[in-house]
Amino acid sequence: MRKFLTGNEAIAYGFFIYGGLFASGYPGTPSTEILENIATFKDLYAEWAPNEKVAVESAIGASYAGIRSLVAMKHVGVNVASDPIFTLSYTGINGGLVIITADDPGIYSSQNEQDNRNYSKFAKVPMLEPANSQECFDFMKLAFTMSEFYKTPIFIRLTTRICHSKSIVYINDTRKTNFLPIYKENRFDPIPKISRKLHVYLEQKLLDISKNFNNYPLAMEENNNSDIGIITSGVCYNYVKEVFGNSASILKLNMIYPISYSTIKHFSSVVKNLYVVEELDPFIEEQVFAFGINCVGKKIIPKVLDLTPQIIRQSFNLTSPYSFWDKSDYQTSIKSNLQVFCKGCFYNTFFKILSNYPDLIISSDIGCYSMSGGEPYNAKDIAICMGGGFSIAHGIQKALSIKNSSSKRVIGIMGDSTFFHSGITSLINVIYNKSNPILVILDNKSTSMTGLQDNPGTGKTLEKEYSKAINIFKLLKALNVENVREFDPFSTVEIISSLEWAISQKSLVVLIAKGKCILKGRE
Amino acid sequence: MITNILFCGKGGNGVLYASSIFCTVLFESTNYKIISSDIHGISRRGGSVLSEVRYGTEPIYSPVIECVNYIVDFDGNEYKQYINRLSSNGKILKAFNNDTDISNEIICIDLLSKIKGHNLPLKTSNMIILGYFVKVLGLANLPWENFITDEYNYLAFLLGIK
Ligand code: SF4
Repeated sequence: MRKFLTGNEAIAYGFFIYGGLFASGYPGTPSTEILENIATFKDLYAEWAPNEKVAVESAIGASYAGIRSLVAMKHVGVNVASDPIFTLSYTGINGGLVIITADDPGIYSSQNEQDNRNYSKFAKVPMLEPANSQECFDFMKLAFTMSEFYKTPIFIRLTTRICHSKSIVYINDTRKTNFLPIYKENRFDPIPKISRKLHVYLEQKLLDISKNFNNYPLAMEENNNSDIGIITSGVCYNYVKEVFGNSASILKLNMIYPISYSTIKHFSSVVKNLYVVEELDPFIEEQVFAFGINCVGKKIIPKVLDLTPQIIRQSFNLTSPYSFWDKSDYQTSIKSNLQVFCKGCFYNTFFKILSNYPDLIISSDIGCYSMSGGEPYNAKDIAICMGGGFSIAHGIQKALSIKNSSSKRVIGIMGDSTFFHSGITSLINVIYNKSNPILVILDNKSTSMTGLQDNPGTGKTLEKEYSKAINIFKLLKALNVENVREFDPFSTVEIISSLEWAISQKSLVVLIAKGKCILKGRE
Repeated sequence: MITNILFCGKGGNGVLYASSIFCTVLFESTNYKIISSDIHGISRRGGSVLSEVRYGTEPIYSPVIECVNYIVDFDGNEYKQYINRLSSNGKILKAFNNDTDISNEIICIDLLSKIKGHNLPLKTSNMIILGYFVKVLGLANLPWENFITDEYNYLAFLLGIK
C-alpha cells in the first residue's frame, strides 16, 4: 500500500499497524493531528486527557496492563508531563510505550523553542528521530519492538517540519495486536531501596542499547569517500542531502540518545573533517566530544531557530548554485502580519474593553487570547505557560500587597481548556492562600487555538462519544468561591458591568464568560 | 528535474485545500516523487498560510524549498514575503492585479470579474487560480475531476484552465 501522509498521520498509521491499543495526549501544535488521526481507526482506544501529565500517567497504566500505548504532545507539554517520565525510565514498562514530543524549532506556534532531545538524556529515555513520513511510520515498529525488548519507554522526537510535511509512505505490514499479562513485579513500586537498584539496571540498559546499535537500524552510514563527514539526524538529514548530495559522507543517526561509541568512532576514522549538523542545542556534538572525538558543530551552525538548506550552505561558506532576484527593498516594505481574532469572536470586544482599563495588570494564558497583547488589542501584559494565568495573578497581587499597593488590581484570564488543563490547581492556590485577583474564565466550549478540539467542558470525547460536561460554575461553588458571576461576552453592556462589579469587590472574584467559539460547530 | 512551488495566502483563502488537491492528484495519477510542507500555526485567524510543494522524477529530500520556481498567491499581497526565495527566472501567479515592478514574469488573475461573471461563490476563487496554474504547468490533462468533487469548485477550476 502506498500513501501520501504527513509525519503526524504516519505516526498514527504506524501506531495502528504495529498493534497500538491505547493513545492519549493533549492538543498542541504541531502534534495535535496524531491523536486526531489515531481516533479515526477502529479497534483501538484514543482520548484527550486534560493535560499531558495525566496523559502519560494513563498510558503508563495501559502499558502496565499489557497493551501497546502512545502519548503525544508538543514540546512544552513534556515539561508538564516530565514528573512521571523521569521515574518511568526507572520502573520500565510492560506493553510497549512511546512518547511523542513534537518540537517547534523556529517558534511557529509556541512560546519557546526548547530542544526536547535534552529530555532523553536527562530522563534516561532512549530517543528516536525520524527524517520523513516513511520513517515516522517505520520507527513506530522500531520503537515498540525496542520498548518491549528493553522494557523502556521510547521517545520519538518530531519537529514542526516533520509533523506537517507530507511525503510518500509504503505500508507493507498488516495490523497485529498482542495482550501481555500483568506482571506484579516490585520494579513498578520504586520506593528508595528498589529505586536504587533500578537506577543501576537503567544505566546498564542504556549501555546495552548503545553497544547493540547495529542490531537495529539505529544509524545509517553513507560513505561517499569524501574528506567531509557530517553527523546529522531528523529533518536536518534532508537539508544536508539537499546541499551536499553525495559529495560528503553522512552518518544519519536514527537514535540520538543513547548513541554508540563504536559507530561514531568508525565514521570519524573514515573522514578527515568531522561536522555535526543539528538544529538548536549542540546535543549530538556534546556526545561526540564526550567520546573524545573532535568535531565542528555550533561553531558554524546557528543555535537558534530552524535550519534550512540555505542556512547550512552559508554555514559551510558554500556559494549558492541558484541565482536569486535581489529584493531587499521588498523585504523592508512588508508590513508585519497582524494576528487577529476571527470576525465575530467575542474576544474582539472583550479585549478592546479591557484595554480601556490601563490600571489593571492583565495576566493571561495560552490560547487564541494569547494574541490579545499585540495590535490592535494591546491588552495582555504577561503570559508564560498553560494554567499560569491565575497563579501569576496571585503572585502579582500578593507582591502588590507586600509593597502596600493593594489598591492596584490584577486580572487573571484563561480559557476553558486551559482551566481544565492546570488552571484549577492555580485557582485552588488563590483560594487557599487568600489573594484577591479578578479571575476570568473565557469559556467558549472549545480548545480553539489548536483546531477546535473537545475538552472536559464540552460534553464530547475525542472519539465523539457523549460525556457528562463539567459545569464550571458548580465547580467554583464547590471550591467555596463566593463571588462568581456568569456573563454574556457578546454583550458589551454585560462585559462592562461585570468588570465594574468585579473591580468594586475587595475579595476574590471569578467571572465566567458564557461564550462560544464561532468556528466550533462549523467544522 | 524538480519543480518547486510556494502556495501562499491568508487563513481562509483556501491555500491548504488547493495545495492538497494539487498534491493528491499528482500522487494518485503520476509516478512523481512528491513532498509538501505546510506552515499553519495559528493562521486560521487571518495569519499567513504557506504550503511548499516539490515534485519531480529525482529523489527529493528537503521539505523546505531553497529556490522557488513558482509562487502562487491566493491572497494577492502575500507573495512579497517570499520573493527572496524566487529564482531569477521564477514566475509569480497571483490573485488580482500587478502591484510590483520586479523583473520576474507575473501572471495576474482578475478573480472578481470571473466569479461575478459566472455566479460562483467567492470561496471558489482558490480553484480558479489552481486551474490556471495547472495549465501553466502542463498538467491540465490529469484526472482533476475525480478529486475536485464539489460542483462549484470544479466549475471554478475549469474556468481557470480555460
Ligand atoms: S478560533 Fe474561536 S476562539 Fe479562536 S479567535 Fe476564532 S472564534 Fe475566537
